[in-house]
Amino acid sequence: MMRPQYSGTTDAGPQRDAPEAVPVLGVKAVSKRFVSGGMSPSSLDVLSGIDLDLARGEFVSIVGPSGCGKSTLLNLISGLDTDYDGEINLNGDGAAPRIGRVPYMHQRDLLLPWRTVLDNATISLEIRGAGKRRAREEALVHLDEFGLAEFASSYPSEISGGMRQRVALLRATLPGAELLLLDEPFGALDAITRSSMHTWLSQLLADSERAVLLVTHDVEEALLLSDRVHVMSSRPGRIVSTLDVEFPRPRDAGIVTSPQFVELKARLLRVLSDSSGVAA
Amino acid sequence: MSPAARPAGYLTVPLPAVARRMLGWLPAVVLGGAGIGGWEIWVRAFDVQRWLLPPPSVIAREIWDSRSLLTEHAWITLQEILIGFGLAAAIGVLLAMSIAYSRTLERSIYPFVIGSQMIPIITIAPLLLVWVGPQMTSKIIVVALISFFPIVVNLVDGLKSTDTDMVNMFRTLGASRWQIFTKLQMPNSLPYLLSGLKIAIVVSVIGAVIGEWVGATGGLGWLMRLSAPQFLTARVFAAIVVLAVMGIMLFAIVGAVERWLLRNYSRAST
Repeated sequence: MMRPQYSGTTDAGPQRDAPEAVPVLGVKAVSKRFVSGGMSPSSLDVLSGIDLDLARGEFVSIVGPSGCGKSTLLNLISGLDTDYDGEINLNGDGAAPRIGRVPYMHQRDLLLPWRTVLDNATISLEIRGAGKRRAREEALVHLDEFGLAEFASSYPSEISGGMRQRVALLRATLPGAELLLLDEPFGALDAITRSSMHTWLSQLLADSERAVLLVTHDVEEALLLSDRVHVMSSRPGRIVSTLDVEFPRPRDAGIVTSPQFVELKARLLRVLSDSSGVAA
Repeated sequence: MSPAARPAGYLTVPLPAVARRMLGWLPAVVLGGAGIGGWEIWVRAFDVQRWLLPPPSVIAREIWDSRSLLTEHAWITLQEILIGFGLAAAIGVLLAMSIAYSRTLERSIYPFVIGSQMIPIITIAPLLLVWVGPQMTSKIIVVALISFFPIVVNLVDGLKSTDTDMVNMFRTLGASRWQIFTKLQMPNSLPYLLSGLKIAIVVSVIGAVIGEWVGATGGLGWLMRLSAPQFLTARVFAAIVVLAVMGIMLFAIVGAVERWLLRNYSRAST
């Protein structure tokens, strides 16, 4: 297990300095096998021996080719899927059900077309029993930093894809959980919008204590946002390499042209092509 | 459509919105007019007996002459339709919700819902007369019996057509089964419910006429039933016209309610 002994940036937060601090998320030797029944049962190993730790305030990415089981892993962590081998601990607790405690943002914005921007964001608070008025008041405070202030009463069909994703993120973060899962959240956006979303997200999370686990196949996105990047191979998905990204956060999209970044990106791409080459 | 997008020479004078909307009905008016005109000419040219097929002009005169009679009976029929339809909507929504919410309820209720549509109304309507009398009640039951079905089927489909990713999103936010049902499945099914209601209102009109045909003390169906054997064919047609206009208006009202309720449902997001 490699605990973060790298980069000073994540120590900025009120991270417990004891070396045995309980990680927000601890994934140990997690494997997942899909078994299809019927006359001739067959099984498919999707994940194999995944180890992963996220400390408070950390941003960690998993990159890998399509179908490597990244989304399956997020389904396990979020508690949507409870059938797996190994151990997943949330704040050191592996026994309590995780469903409903780990916000999970999808590639699709999944906004409700009949609700306004504001009411789409507040649904997460309403589900937790907040009254509509109180939920709205709470969400209104954040609309500005999410760049949605003028669109509170717009409907999802009236705003851009980038804005829709920001509404989805606001919805996911409003309840204030310590861990956030992002499954290719900007995958459906055009390159320009995606780039501005990266800068914005990096700033938004800069002094947040929230731990974020991002799954993506966009190498640049992973490097730009993360403290650490895990590379996954496919079939079965396993972590084949881990890279520490030591640029201070928040980062500006400008760094992508810096020599260090380019070097890091080249390394990551090499690992990625090696791993998918092996898997092919 | 912007004026510039109009084909050249189509209409260069800008029309008010109402006029433009009415212009949209022009093809229907032209077609209807041609049909009525052809009918009139046919009947006169071949000297068809009035009791066999009255020309539109005679029917129009009959509508005017019997306007108080027609209004009186249309009102009876309209009440049967509205009460029966309302009943069907209430029962249909409740049944659909039960069916969609619980697998056990689905298994126990759905077969009977479908079975209810196998009952030949024509045979049960006379029995209803015996059971509840010749007043409005038997007609209301017939209307409700045939119009609740499209409401149930459509709404069940709507409640079950929820996107799996949406459901999972709700689950990760900690939603209970009931919250998923009320905050996601129910609003999501609204377009389906309204489709069902549009079909239901149309079959309601037919249901009321069938009910009255079998036995009643009033209503347009009863009026037709009474007029036909007396060779008052123009009156039969007059009643049909009134019934058709009523049906179209009821459909238009449900359509307007639909447009209003679904004004924000357009263009689903990803």
